[in-house]
Amino acid sequence: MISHIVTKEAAELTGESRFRWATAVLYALFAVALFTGYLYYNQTNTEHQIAQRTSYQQWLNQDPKSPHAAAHYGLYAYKPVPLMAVLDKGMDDYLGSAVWLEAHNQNDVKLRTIQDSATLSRFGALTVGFVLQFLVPLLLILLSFDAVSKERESGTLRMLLSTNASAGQLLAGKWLAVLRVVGLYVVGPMLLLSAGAMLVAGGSTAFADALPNLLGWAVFYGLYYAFWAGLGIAVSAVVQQSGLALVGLLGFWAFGAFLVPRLCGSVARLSAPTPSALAFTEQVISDKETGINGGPSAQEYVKLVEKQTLAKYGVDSLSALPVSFAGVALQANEDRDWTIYDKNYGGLFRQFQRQERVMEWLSMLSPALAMRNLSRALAGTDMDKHLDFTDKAEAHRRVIQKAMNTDQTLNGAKLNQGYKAGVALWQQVNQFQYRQPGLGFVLGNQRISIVTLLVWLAMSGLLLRRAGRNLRIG
Amino acid sequence: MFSHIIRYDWLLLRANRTLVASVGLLAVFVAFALLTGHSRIRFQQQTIADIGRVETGSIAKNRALVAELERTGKPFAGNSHRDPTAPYTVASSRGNRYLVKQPEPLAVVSVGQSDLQPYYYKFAFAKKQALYHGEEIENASILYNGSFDLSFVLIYLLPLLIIALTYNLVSAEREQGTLFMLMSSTTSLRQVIVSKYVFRFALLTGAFLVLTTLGLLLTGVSITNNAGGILFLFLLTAGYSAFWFALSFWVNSVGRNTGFNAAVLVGVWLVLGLVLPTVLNVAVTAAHPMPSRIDLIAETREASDNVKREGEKKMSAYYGDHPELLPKGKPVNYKDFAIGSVRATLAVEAAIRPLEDQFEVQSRNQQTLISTYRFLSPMVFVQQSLNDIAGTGDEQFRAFQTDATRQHNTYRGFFAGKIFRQESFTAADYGKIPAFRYVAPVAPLFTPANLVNLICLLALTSLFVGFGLSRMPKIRLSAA
Repeated sequence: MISHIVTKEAAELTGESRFRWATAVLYALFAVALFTGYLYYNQTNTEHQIAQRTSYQQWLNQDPKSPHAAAHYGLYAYKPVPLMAVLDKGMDDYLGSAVWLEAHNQNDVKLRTIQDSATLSRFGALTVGFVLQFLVPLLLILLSFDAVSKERESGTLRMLLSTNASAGQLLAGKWLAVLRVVGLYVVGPMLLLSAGAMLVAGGSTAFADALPNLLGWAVFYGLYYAFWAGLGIAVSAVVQQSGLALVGLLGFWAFGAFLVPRLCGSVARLSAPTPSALAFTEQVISDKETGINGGPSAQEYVKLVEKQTLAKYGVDSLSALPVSFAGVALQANEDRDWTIYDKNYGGLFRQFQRQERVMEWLSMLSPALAMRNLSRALAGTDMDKHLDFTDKAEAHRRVIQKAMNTDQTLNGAKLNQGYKAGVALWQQVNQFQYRQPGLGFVLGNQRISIVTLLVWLAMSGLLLRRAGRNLRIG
Repeated sequence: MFSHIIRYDWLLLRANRTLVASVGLLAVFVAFALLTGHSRIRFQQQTIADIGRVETGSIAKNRALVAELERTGKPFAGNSHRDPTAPYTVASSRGNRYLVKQPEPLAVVSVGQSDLQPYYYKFAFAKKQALYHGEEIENASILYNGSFDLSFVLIYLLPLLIIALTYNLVSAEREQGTLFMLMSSTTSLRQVIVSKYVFRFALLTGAFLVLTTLGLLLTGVSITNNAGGILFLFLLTAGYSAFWFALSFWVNSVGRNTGFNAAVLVGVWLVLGLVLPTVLNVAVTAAHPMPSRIDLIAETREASDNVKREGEKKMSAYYGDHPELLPKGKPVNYKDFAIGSVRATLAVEAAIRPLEDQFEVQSRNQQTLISTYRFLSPMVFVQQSLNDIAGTGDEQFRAFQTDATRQHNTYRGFFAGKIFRQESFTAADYGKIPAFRYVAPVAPLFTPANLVNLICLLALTSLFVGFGLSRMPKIRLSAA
C-alpha cells in the first residue's frame, strides 16, 4: 500500500513547477560550489605540500652551524588539506595553516586566509556542504509544507482517507515520496558528482582513504533529510493552513540557520571569555622570568641546573664536564619552557573547549547546526582536527629541540658554543608528516551533534505518527 | 479615514499578539546585541589600558636597571640577549612601544572586522612580518559563527520581523473571506492596505530607533557628540526598513495566496542575504585572487638565507655607503649579532617588498569590484555603511595597518643608528624612546558612497511602492 502512495506522490511532486525551478537553482549553486571546492583543494593542497618539502629542504640545506642556531632557524609545519575539503571547507579559512617550529617559543598556527579577505567573505562561503546543510532543507520544506494541507484545501483529503490507506500510511507515503524524489533527483546525483570530483582531485589512494568519512557523511545527511521531510509533512498535517505551515517551517529554518549560530558565539564569549593576546604574552613572559607554581626564577634555574650537572658528573667546574654544558642548559631551559607553555596554552585551549561545549549545547536547538558541525568534522576541517594538528606540530618541535640539544650536549663538550654540526645532524630530524585522525576520533568528538540529529529525527517521527493518528479532514 | 484604519489595525494587531510578539522580540534582540557589543568594546578598552600600563612599566623598570648599573659603574652581568644597555635588546624586548586603535564612539553598532583584524601592534625591532602576524586571541568557531551585533539584528532579523508582520496583509483578507467587504467599501483597497503598511512601518521602525537610542544612551554613548553618526544610522535604518515594507507591499499586491507571499519574501531575503553575497565573493576572489602567504614565508626564508651568505662583504659595503653609522672610537665588529640581525631584517624586507605590495594591490582591486557590484544586494552595502558608522570596516583597518607600518619604521629608526654605531643604551636614552599615537582619519559619514547607498534604498522603495500601487486595483476576489 505504502509503495503505491509513494509512487503516486513522487510522480506528483516531480511534475510540479516549484520542484523544477528550485532544483535548477540548487544545481546551479551546487555546480559553482563543487567547482570552487575542487579548485580550492587542488591549489591549496599542492601549495602546502610544496611548502612542506621546501621548508624541509631549507632545513637540510643549512650551512654547518651550532645545533642551537639550527633550532632557531627551525622548520615550518603546514597543515595538509583533507580531500573532503573539496566538499566542505568548514572552518579552514578561520584556522591557520602554518606554524613555525623554532627554539624557545611555541608559536600559534598562523595564516588565517580570512584575514586577507574583505567583509564580504564574512557573509559565508559557497561550498557543497553549505548547499546540502542549508539549501536542500529549503527544497524539502518547499515540497512538504502543503503536502497535507493542499489535499485538505482542495477537498481531496476526504477521498484519500476513504480508501484502504490509513492516515498513518498516507503520511508515511508522502514522507517517503519526498525523500525519494529529493534523493533520486537531487542529493543522490550531487553526492555521486561530489565523489567523482574528489576522485579526480585526489587520486584513487586518497579517495580510498577518505571513503569511510564520505560514506558516514552520506548516512548522516540521509538522517538529516529524513528529519526535515518528516517535520514538513507533520507540520503540514497539524497546521490547517498551508501559508501558516510554510511560515512556521521557514521561521524554524531561519532560526536554526541564522539566529542560533550567532547566539552560540556571543553566549560562549560572554560565559567563558579568553584573555587578550597581550595578557597571554605578558603572562608567558612573566612565567618564564619568575617561574610557575613557586618554581625557580629564570636566574635561579640556571644556577640549579649548573649545580645538578656538576653533581651528576661528579666534577667541580664546568670546564671539566665530559659533555657540553651549553647543550645541557639549553635542553633544561626547553624543559622548563615546555611546562610554562603547557600551562598557558593548556589553559587557553581548555577555555576554548569550555566555549565549544557551550556552543554545542546551544546548538541542540538547531539540527542544521548539528549537521554543519558533523559535516565539517567528517571532512576534517573543524576545530578538533586543527587542535590535533597543533599538538602533533608542537610534539615535532620538541623532538627537534631535543635532537639539537642532545647533539650539542654529547658532541660539543670541548668547543661548547663554537661547536658546529652539519647535514648529518639535520637529517636526524624527519620531515613533519601529519596523518589525519580516523573516523573513530571524529565520531567520538561529535557525540553531541549526533545525538542532536537523532533526537530531532525521533521528534519529527513522533510528531508524524501523532499527526497520522489525529488527522482530520477539515 | 487614515486614523480610522490605524485605530482598527492597532486593535487587530493587539488582538492577535503579532505586534506584541514582534516588538517584544525586537527589544530582546536589540538588548542582547547591545549587551554583547558593549562587553566586547569594554574588553578592548581594558586591553588598551593594560597596554599603556605594560608599556610604561617595562620602560621604567629597565631604565631603573640601567641607571643602577651606571651608578655602580658595573657592566651587565647576565646573558647578553637580556642586556638592557644593548640597543638591539632594548628594541626587541625592553623598550617596546605599542600603536593602538581606539574603538570609535559608535563601535557598538557593528563588530565588522574588529574581531578579526588587530587593533593594536607591538613595535619591536623584529621582522616587519611580525606585524601582520599579530592576531588577537579568539576562538575560530566564534569568529566563524559571526557576532550577534546590532548590524546583524538590523540586516537579517528586522526583515524577518517585517515579513512576519506583513506577508499576509492582502492574502489573509481573501482567505478569511473579508476581502470582498474591503473592496466594496468607499475607501479603495489600495488606500486601506497602504495605510496598514505605513502604520506598521512607523511602529516597527520607530520601535527599533527608540530601542537603539535607549541602548546607546545606556552604554554611555554621547548623543550630542555623535549626532552625525546617529542621524546616518537612523536614515539607513528607515531606508532599509522601508525597502522591505515596500517589497512586501509589492508582493502582496500581486494578489496570490499566503504561501506564495511567504515563499517569495523569504526567498528574496535568502537570495539577497546568503546566495548573492557568497556568489559575489566567489566571483571577486576568482577575479582578483590574493597571493599566497605561504609563498611569502618561503620567499622570506630564501631572502634571509641569501643575506646570511653574503654576510661580511655586504656589511662593509653598507658601512661604506653610510659613514655616519660608523662606530665612534672603535673598529666595526662584523660579528656583532645585533648588527647582523638588523642588516638581515632590512635586506629581507627589501627583497620581499614586491610580493607584499601584491597583497595591497589585490586587496584594493577586490574592494573596487565589491564597491561596483554591491548594489546587487542591499544587505551588502548596508553592512558596509554600518561598518563605516562603527569604524570597523575594511578601510579603517587598512588605514591603521598602513600607519602602523610607517610608525614602526620611525621606531626602528630611533634604534638603528645606535645599533650600527655599537653604542650603549643609557638610562637617559630610555626617556627618549618615541611614543606613538594613532589618530584615525576623520572620515565624514556622508561620503558619496554612503549617500548613493541611501539613494539606492530610496529608489528601490519607490519602485516597489509604484509597482504595488499600480497592481493593487487589479486584485481579484478569487485567488489568482
